[in-house]
Amino acid sequence: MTSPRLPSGATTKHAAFFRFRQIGERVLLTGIDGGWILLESDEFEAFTRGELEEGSSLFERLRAKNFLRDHVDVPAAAASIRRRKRFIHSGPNLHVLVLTLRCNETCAYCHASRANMDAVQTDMTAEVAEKTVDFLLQTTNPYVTIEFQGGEPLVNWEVLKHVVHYALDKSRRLGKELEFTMVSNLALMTEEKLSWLLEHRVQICTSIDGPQDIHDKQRKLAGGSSHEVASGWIRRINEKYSELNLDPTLYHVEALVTTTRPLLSRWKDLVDTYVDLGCRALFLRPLDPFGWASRTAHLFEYPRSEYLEFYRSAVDYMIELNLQGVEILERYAAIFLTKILSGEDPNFLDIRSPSGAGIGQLAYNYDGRIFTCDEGRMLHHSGDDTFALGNVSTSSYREVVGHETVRAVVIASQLEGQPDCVNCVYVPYCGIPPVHSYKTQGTLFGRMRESTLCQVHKGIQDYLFEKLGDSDAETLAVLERWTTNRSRDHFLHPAETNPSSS
Amino acid sequence: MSVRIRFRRDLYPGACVDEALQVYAPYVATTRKESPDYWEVCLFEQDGDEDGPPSKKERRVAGEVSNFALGLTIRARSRGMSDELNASDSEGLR
Amino acid sequence: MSAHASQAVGGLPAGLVQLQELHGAQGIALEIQTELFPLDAIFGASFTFIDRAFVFLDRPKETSVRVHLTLKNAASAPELNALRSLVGEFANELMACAFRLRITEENRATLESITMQAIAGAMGPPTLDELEDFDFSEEPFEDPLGIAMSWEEKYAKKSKEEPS
Repeated sequence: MTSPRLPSGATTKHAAFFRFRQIGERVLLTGIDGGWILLESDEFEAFTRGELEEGSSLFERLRAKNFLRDHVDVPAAAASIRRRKRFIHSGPNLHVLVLTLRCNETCAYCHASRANMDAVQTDMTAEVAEKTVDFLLQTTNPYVTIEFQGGEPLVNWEVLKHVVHYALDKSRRLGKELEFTMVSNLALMTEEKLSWLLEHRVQICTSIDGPQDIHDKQRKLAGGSSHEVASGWIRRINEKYSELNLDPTLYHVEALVTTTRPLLSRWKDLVDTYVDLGCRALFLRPLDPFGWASRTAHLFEYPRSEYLEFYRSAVDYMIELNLQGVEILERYAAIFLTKILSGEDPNFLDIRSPSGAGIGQLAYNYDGRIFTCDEGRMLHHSGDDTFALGNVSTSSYREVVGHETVRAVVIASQLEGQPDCVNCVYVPYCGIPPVHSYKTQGTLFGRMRESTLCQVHKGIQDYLFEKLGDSDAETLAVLERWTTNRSRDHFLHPAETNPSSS
Repeated sequence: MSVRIRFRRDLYPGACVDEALQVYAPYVATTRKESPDYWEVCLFEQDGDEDGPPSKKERRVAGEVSNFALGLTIRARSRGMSDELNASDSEGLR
Repeated sequence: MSAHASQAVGGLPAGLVQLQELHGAQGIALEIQTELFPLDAIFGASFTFIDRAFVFLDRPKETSVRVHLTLKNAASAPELNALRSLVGEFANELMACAFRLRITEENRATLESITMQAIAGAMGPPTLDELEDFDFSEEPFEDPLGIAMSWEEKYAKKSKEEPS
């Protein structure tokens, strides 16, 4: 997919500002407000030559999407831009707490810099946990999500419980709406712990790296199959949600995959594994460059062109399953389609401009050190403190979010200031986290032409616009359904009606 | 032996070169002089072999001093300070 | 002098790129015309290489800057391909920096507005303690339009200067 050549005699007679890109036989145009249109090549030629007949169907289509200079609906465009950038004023919503670096599993590509189970010095203490909660509840955002990470967060179970109790008690007084999420390999889960998590409405998320053979090879659990353990608990937790009369299409364990080279040819097995486990979403994330991933790159890395073939095959198959009545969506597609079709931004922190680092999320190490994002914390464990912002014991909230590193990251992640991005048709929907550019290219800004993440984002959006241009009504309905964002109210702890912290 | 580094005065503010040398002073001895266009620095191990080629340590410290002076220069440029810097800008460079 | 005789690198323009020994180590030098690339872009690109290379700038002519790059962790005679790829990546970064400078200038208002709103939105208003600790004496407060003056001060002064 490349930029189409403008016809000879191209003029700006009719055109409002637009960017364009060849998508198959058609040309995609996007406007400054995120509106888009797919034109046949003769239509594109007529438009760019200024040969539009007023009142023609093409004229009306272009006018409706704000592509005609003399007919731009300025208030509508301004409202659209405001809606797409609504997240700017909110302040950090996602707060990642690393309760410990200890982990009972060993992943070959571990991003999180795990420590052995005897490294108790890497556990967050109750005192640091309280200071962390005191700190994070100062956010200007009325909605706060506390995400428990590790290591393996279940290893530091008592502190996890303490954080939930303490945060619920404190947030009630501060009028914040709270949500808790735990990202766990589930190998240390017990019925007792599960009951407590359900009672306190902590969402549970895990990792499934595909079919059992691949998962077990990549995620080693001493004395057993990590896949069997995780999938057993996924089923059990989903059963429990049903027992609580929660709608299974909305309430189920979320699982994440890390796409490694062995998985590229196994896209069908991967999707089937997720469907069999009752998962409704699959996030086809490519391998990150953090943690041990660089050491094991020779085993797991791949050219992104191969990843994009894998992506297309897997999502084609998922669409096919949806047409047969199986509900499963791909998360990347859902994020981009929401921006493309609904004009809303789902506020996925890594794909927005500016990125969420520092202003949408903060990460807290077990020792109370604060970072712009979890990846910034991962770099700290490799000896690089570029993304460190302070410490919950010594820094004030305003010092941290007003930190010069946050300002640098906000400036660097605005696509309107990026070469390539400023001319890219996908700029209204895209975003790049500076920490990725920093790790892979040594600069916060990155060079998008050489960025693997840019390649992935462009490739996925090319695919989606091909689908939007070529699909039948049923397929379009599936894609439309993927943009439906239903709130999981059961997991919310409203400010006034928190349960007692027993 | 020694390593001689000649920092262009219209690229590197003198204060930045001095600060970089100060940071690496524990590792090597230095002498400094000025010419109309350069800050000239001679950097050597005190107990080094005077006749041989620059030692590995001298080469490494020369590189680190260059990088450090560069970093300080960029910081100074972003803050728009130092007379030397203004002088370099006034010579028609952007 | 620590810089020694230079040698062309196959496949790259001899007038611009040379293998060159500097400070006793073999590296590669790229000559950049300052008419084409602003000095800020040259400094910006140079900075992104200091984690893996020793970077040294010189000015062989009034109209150019020469960037010397020496690999940090290379043997005394580094592989030609490693140096070639280093200078190639530098050239790409230089172009990105130069382009970005221009785009930033063109879009400065938008970028500043978004940054200000994002940071201010996340920080929220200062607390009373923070206001109390704020050091107002650090910078002289300039008020050419008299915005900070009381109404009485402003007009009393004016009436003295310009008697009606």
